[in-house]
Amino acid sequence: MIRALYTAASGMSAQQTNLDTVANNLANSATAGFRQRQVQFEDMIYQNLITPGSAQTQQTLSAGLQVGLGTKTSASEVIMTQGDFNQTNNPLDLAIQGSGFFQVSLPNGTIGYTRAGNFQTNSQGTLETSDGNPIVPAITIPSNASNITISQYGVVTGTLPGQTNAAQLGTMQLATFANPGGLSSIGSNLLQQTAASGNPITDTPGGTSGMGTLQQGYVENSNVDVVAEFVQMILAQRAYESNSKVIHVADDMYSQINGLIR
Amino acid sequence: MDSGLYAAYTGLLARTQALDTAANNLANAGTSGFRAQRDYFSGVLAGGLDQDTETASQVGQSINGFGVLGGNRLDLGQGELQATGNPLDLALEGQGFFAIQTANGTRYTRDGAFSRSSTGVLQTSRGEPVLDANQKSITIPTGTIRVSPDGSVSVSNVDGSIIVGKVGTFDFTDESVLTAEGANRFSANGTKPVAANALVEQGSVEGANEDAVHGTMQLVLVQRQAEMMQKALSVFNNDFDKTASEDLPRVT
Repeated sequence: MIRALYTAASGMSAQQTNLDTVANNLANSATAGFRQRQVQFEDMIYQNLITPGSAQTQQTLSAGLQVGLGTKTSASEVIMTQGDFNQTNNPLDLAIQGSGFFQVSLPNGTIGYTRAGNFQTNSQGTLETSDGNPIVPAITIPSNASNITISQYGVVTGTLPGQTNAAQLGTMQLATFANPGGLSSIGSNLLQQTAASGNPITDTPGGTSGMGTLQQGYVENSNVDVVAEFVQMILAQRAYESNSKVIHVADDMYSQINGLIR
Repeated sequence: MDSGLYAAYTGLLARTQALDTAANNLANAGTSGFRAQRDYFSGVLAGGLDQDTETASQVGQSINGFGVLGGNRLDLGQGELQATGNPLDLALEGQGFFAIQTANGTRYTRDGAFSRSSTGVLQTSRGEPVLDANQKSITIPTGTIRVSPDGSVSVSNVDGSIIVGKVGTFDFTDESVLTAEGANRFSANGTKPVAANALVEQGSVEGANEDAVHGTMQLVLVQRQAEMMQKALSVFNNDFDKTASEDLPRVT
């Protein structure tokens, strides 16, 4: 009796986490480079009231009596599918067609990883994110350079005044991970490496490590599928409702038992 | 004394246990690869062993037969597939299980939300390696991953396309050896599995095989049956005993 109450409560709290994740996915559906998360559930431990295969009254039981104690959220998996591309025509906007990440130098000296390619230059001409974190390796674009071109293999070229031929200004590098789902989100479109993700493998775009290629003048949108999130929201709401029904029934049966004594 | 009182009491107790199972099934309606448990009730003849039924009289059988919760078994029906688009999310269509290597030995699961570890090993969300047909883990290099319905994993990158392993699917001739362990896993208690002919579907995860309609119906049934037992109990408890102890002595 008490078990059913706690079991249903575990279902309700797991669905709450599910809804929290759906809400965050929907809130970030317009965030460049955002990767949606999906909650995974697992069942909790079981109480073995009768162990299967035990002997009872001279016959072996083919099935036991196991009562599960509810559910819990086990992980929120990052879904690494490609988001669609949004054409901006800004020469410093880059989208990655493939599995790589841009590398960004953070103020604390560590490297962050992002798919959001809406870059700009600072007062010194260094290419940086909209939060002001320079990209790695550093690329400086002189303010008087024109016709900035970033090839799909990451070569940045520009025409300097008084010159007819384009000069090479630097080469972009991307990083990839054995387990990109193991990266940890730290906000501001940034991800950080963890023991689960493994060490980054860096290479130029289009290289042999399967980084993917760059697309200049485009920004990658989030990969949130709004319709799928709405479906998930309805499912979470209904599952929450059916768990609350269990609490209602358990409460009702409890009061019936109490009602035995008058 | 009134054996019906105890029959109603055991019935009520069995219904409270059945409610626990119904609650667990509903709580896990969102758990990938969850297999619902179905209760069955069984009759117990009080005061004797089951094999004495021939010698017991008809009346004796009917007034001493108690209904208790006999046990529950796993419902191994298919859950619906939910498309996720993740190349390492695998769902099984048909009977069978994935095998995973845990600290306590090989365990079986239908939850195919897998990922690649930092060293490239195919693993569960808890970091346990997924095994192939020969109980070995599978290492997947970087590249575009394709899993065919028979479980073969192929990776294509600039070096070309190679088959790097085959996800094993296992089944049991007698599924009642499986006990749920939590964390979406089942233990076979040492029983050797046989190869399954389930199909592997890439980019999907199998949901629980508990639907809200069945779960809610089970709730209503348990609730109403408990109500009946309670009514029966109160008949014995209040009406009969009251008559015996208060009304009968008043006969003059």
